Amino acid sequence: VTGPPSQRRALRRGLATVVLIAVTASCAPEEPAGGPGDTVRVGLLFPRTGPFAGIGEDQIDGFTLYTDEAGSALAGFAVELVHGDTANDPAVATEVVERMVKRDQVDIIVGVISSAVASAIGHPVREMGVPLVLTAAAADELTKQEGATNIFRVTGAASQVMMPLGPYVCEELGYETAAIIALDYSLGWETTGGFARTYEEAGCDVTQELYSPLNTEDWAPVVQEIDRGVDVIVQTTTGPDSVRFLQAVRDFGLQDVPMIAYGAATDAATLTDETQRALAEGLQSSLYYSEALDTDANKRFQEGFRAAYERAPGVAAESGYVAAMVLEAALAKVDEPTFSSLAAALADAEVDDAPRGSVTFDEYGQVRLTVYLLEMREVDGEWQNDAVDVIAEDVSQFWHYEPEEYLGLPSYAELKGTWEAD
Amino acid sequence: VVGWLISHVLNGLSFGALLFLLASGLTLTFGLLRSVNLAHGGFYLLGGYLGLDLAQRFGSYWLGLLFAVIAVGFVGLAVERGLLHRLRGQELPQIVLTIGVAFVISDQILAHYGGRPRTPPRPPGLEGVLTMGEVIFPWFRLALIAVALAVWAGFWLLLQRTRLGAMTRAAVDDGEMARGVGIPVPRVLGAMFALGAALAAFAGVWGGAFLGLAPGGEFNVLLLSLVVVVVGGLGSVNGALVGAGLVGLVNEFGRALFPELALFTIYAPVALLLAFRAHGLCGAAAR
Repeated sequence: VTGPPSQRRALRRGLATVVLIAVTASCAPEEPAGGPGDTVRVGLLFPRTGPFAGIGEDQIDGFTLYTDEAGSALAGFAVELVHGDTANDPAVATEVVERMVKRDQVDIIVGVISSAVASAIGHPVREMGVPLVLTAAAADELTKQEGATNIFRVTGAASQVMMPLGPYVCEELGYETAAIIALDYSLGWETTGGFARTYEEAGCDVTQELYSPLNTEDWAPVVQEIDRGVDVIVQTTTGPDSVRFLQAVRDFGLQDVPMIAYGAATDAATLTDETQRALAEGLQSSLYYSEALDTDANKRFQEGFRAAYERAPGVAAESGYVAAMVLEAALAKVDEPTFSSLAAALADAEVDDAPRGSVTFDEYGQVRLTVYLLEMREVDGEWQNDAVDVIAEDVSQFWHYEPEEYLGLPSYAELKGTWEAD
Repeated sequence: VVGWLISHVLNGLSFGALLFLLASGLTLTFGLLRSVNLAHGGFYLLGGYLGLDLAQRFGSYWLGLLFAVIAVGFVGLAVERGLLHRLRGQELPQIVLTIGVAFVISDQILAHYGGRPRTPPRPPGLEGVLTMGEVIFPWFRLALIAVALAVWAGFWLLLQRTRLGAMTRAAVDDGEMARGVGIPVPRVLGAMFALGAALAAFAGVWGGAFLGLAPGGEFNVLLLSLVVVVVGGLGSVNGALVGAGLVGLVNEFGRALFPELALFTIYAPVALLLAFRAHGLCGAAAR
């Protein structure tokens, strides 16, 4: 520090004040633990920046919409929300989880977009026993090898959503050869791998596989390599990569080849405005929710979300909303929320009137799904993922395989690159 | 095969063109500051978001682009006059300050526009696709190459053939002497810094149209343009042009031939180059 003595003194005094404020703030008396039976504290754990920030925002808004609609109380418990930012970083998220449980005394944690983050927080979550409801992370093992009695997932496991698509594309749609384009990490391998496994079992053939890293700035080099002779392109992209990929597909005139995407690629949280959605015109996808589903529950959700946040909700928002519904169903069966009583109640929770339909968990805590074929088209003057067919109902994360058999198969990470060979 | 080659070369050059737009501003401000301006990515992002927002407000793409570029130029001027010039000659504090500015811009954008990725529209008139036999190539990307060449030519003329260029070179080479002969050094440096920021904003609007915009995404782009600047040689606009073309092509063929090794194929040649020619292709040897 340089400068005249008076300035130095002022600076020192300023520093002292800052330190004092910091110390007193951290010593502030903690809120009484847990609350006397009538409050439930929910830790919302989402990234606020980075490639998944849009999805996180939709999920928080979806969850809050339901609790707001219910008057900030679920099954008679007042709801208190504690926000945490994962920064999309496993190490940061692990610290936030510890803080949420030990300092903020949350009863349950909801959230996590990235599977890497979900996997990292799995350890403290299993150890401390706090119930965790995953609302986006799709990695298969989170509810298989890494599953636990206090971990639940209201969204599809990666391969769960795509396995029904294989026989459907081969037999119903009659596309005999397919090219796979995917992001080069577990989500890409598991979704396209799930498709490839059942597609080839049905007698059709994956003839090309292309993988590109997350955050590929320019997709044109990859898109130019796609074989235009295949019957169908099956792709998994998310976040900004999805927009860039679709843009490149259009730039290089590939939109005439039929394309089916893993649903996250076309969701409202990924394609956030009309220009982006128009890029995906005619793009089909495989997913367990459509914003255009013609049910009362879905219309209520769609209208409520639009009124509250002035934008269109997709599956990301719906999953946040469903997490709140599931929590309500569990709380209805609990007298005093403890980690174990809540986890037990969640395992048996049933919701009949979710926007997507009914919601139940299998014995691994993974939700069962109805998988639709969606298509991006204009509905009532705006671009929506409209459900054009039901691919399969009540789909388990193991599809038609026995759980033990499925868990014994080689992982999709090992199988990546082998589909095009045979 | 010829068609395959042509379309990949064109595409590599178009990505390189975008990198040049960013890297030329970066290399220009490097010449002024003698340290890397890490706020450059922030100006890129700010330009992209402002361009998108203003284009929607005015209902005209070109007006939006124009005002975004001017506005970010003024932001750059304010940053230089208000903050950076106090630290002239102190390289580390300048770096810390510019990265701080980058974070502030990024957070402001997050607060005003939210974290969801956005895509500015293509310039009207450039949406179509050029088809020549096997080669299919979007006009927009071709135009990007032309723009980059025009910017390079403009830079050359400005720096070598105009009074302002001569004053800039004098101010950078020996500030005290330049002041002594009556050159308004602070104003010249401020103007050039603003020009660099405006260029970044332009890259944001055009580049955003095929890379997309999202808070945090500016660091990916900044990293690539840093690579370009380092390959080309610090402070050299010609070097930035050569470096951008090279990095664009290496990136393109790396991704096309070995998509899973994409990051390796771009950074390995850079590491090799630096091992043998540490001052870059066109950079002056260490001062």
